[in-house]
Amino acid sequence: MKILRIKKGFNHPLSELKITANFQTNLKEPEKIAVLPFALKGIRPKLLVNQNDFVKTGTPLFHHKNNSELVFLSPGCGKISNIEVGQKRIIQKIEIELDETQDFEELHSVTESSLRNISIDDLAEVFLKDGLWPFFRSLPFNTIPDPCERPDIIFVKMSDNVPFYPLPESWLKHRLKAFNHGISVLKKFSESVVVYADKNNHSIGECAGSIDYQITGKYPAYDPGVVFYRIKEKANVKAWYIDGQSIINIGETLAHGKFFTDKIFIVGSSSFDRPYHVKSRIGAPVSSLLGSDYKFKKNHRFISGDIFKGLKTSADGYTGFYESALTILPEGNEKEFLGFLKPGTKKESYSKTFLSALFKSQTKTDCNTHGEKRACINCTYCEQVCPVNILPQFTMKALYGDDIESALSHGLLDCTECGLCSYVCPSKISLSEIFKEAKDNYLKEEKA
Amino acid sequence: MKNLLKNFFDSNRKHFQHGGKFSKFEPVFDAFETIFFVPDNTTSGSPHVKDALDLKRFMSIVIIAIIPCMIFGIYNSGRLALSAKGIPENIFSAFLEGLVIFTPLLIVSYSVGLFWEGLFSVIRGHKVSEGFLVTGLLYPLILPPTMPLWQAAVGISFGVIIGKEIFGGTGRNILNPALTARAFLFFAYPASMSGDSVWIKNFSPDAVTGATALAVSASAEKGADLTNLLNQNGYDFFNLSMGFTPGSIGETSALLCLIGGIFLIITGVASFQTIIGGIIGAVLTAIFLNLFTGVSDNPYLTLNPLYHLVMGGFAFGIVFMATDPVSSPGIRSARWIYGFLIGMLTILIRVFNPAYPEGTMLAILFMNLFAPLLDYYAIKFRLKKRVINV
Repeated sequence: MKILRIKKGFNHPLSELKITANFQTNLKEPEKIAVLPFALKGIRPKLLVNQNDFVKTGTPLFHHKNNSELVFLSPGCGKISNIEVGQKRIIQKIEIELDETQDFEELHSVTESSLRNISIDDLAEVFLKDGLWPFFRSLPFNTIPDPCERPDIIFVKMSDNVPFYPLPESWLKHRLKAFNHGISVLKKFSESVVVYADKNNHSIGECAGSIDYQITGKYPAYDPGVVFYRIKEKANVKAWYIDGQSIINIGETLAHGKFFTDKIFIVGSSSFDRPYHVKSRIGAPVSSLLGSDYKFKKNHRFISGDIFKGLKTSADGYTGFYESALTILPEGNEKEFLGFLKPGTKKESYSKTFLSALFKSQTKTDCNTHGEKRACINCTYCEQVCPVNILPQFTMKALYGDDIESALSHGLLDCTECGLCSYVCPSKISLSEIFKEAKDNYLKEEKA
Repeated sequence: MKNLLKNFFDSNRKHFQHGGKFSKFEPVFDAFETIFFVPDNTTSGSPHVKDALDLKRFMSIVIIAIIPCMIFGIYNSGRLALSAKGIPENIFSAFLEGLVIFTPLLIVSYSVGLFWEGLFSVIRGHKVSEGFLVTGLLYPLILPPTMPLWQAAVGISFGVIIGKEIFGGTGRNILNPALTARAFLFFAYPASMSGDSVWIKNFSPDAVTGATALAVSASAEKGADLTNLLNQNGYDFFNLSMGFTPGSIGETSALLCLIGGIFLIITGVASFQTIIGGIIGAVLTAIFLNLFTGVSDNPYLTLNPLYHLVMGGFAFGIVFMATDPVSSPGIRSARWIYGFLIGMLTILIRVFNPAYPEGTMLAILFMNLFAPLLDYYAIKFRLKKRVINV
């Protein structure tokens, strides 16, 4: 077990909230769940079902247009009540009205004993057919890997210090066997499976045997892209990553031949001081994660995922396939009087230009941009926080002039899209969005 | 007050929006509104949160750091003006006299500068940037108290237009606009900017001499011991660092510049690399030149290196001018070199160029031009260590 210290980064004030493995139990079971194909990067879905069809848990819903092997399974059993198509005919969501009969499709299983004799290609086929392949994502584009690609290294993320991410003990409990099975399956894919966790978390001692790196540092120290950046020694290494919790989905599905859809969520907000965990399922609606005691006023934003990388959703929306957090923040769309002149005891900032830098008081977090967009003034804050040592302001300017070669040489592809550069920019430039777009365009051109 | 302003802006916004009577002047309306109200813009996607720091706050911090220098500068120029006129002064009368000198310069600086800023914003249709708030305050502080107002107006016009706006406005300029304005005056109206007694002579025809420390040094006899000479003229180290000396309005007190610099470093607004690099550069160069005391009879070679730091505009320049992030290099390691070379060039110009008694302004402007080159090599050096992911 090695210790990896990551120096650069920034801990958002919300990450100071104390998180314990407490569960909210008195919540209603969801009546509807949904799959959100638009959020699957690089996937062009071709539907295999129609509205009002009856699907079992594990019935294929759609496959990737360019590769019919890559199928996506239904995470629930019931009637397809709605298929919402948005602009450019992009499928926004497939809603499933859950049925009481909890029927499962028979899927392939790989037990511990059969694992020894299975070849890597057969295993990949089982993963594709069992709908487990999409749990993997590849660096640097964060896309679902191509079915014929084999990884050199797989990162397994156990914990994170971003607000918010479920504690590993919340989902590891009673599932250790499935976790260990999942890890041994992963080791079939690649000899180097790197499992990393929080250095200060002692409660995951039970699976300590499988942990390779203990990480300490500020956000985004636990991002697989950052860990990869720190330990890679040469270029052209095919790196995949997967959430620790998904290992359990893999382990259970392969052990029993049934699509395992349980998922632990963490729900946090700047409006309540205790984030809580909820045991739910893949595709759970936002409303099912909120207790009736938490009434939010109208002006709130519901984020599936964390505050830096999450997807915007709504109170009647759904959680994404990869995100295991629900964050609720005030929208903050009101005009603050003389905002920049206030001493700022409650203002959150990376810089030390507010009094909140002196007194550690609880700051107010909302989605306001806190200022208008301006030209870059070279303040170097973005460079100070970038965990992968890109020169964000120069890379941004290179991209502004369509100089993709310079941007690539600065390390554009190492960008983990952590969003810190956008966060700290006093000119309110959307740096990480610019990098994301440039990476996506590069991927498109590379494929073409 | 808050509601009154809110109603005022809300009821007049329609005239400035697209299709309104004054839609062209939207940037001006926006500039005034955003002084009072932070806009209600929200983030569109991830990241969903943004830092509370914006350019207005960033620039306000610089202004706070300058204020001690400004207040002392007002007092000091008033004090010198009164003593030049032969009127006995106390702290209040000196301050009042200083206000009479400084306020018109400040008003000219802000009104003329903001006029050009506003004009360019209206024509180009972009927002009025906050950068000028600092430029407009720095500029009168680096002028002599006797500066004619019309010359000050011409200077700031040059600084804003040529130094900044033709490049695209704040953030895109390669030179420091306040120093560009001063450099223009320095070469266009040398009689108002330098010389033996220009600093206070105009207050009264029969004023006592007001030669600055730099002027004393430049006119020192060959082979003289400059440190002693300065001490004899009342420019000992204590006086020079406290700032009770003639000079440009804001630059005289090295101590207050130091306090402002420490504030800027603590808040993280100015880069300490530039400031410390500059001080190291100046001291090392001066120590190096001290080695040649016997070789040449240039009196500057004998000067105590610490005197260089508190004389003239070096302290003010390195703290408030050289740290302008826009015209500095964008890589922090390059800022060490940038600061060091500013310090070195300042001393070299002072010592070896009798035509320019003050080297700080030209040293900073010169290094502004080299900032992109320093960045270029700093990036090249950094990328050597990188495993490229292509």
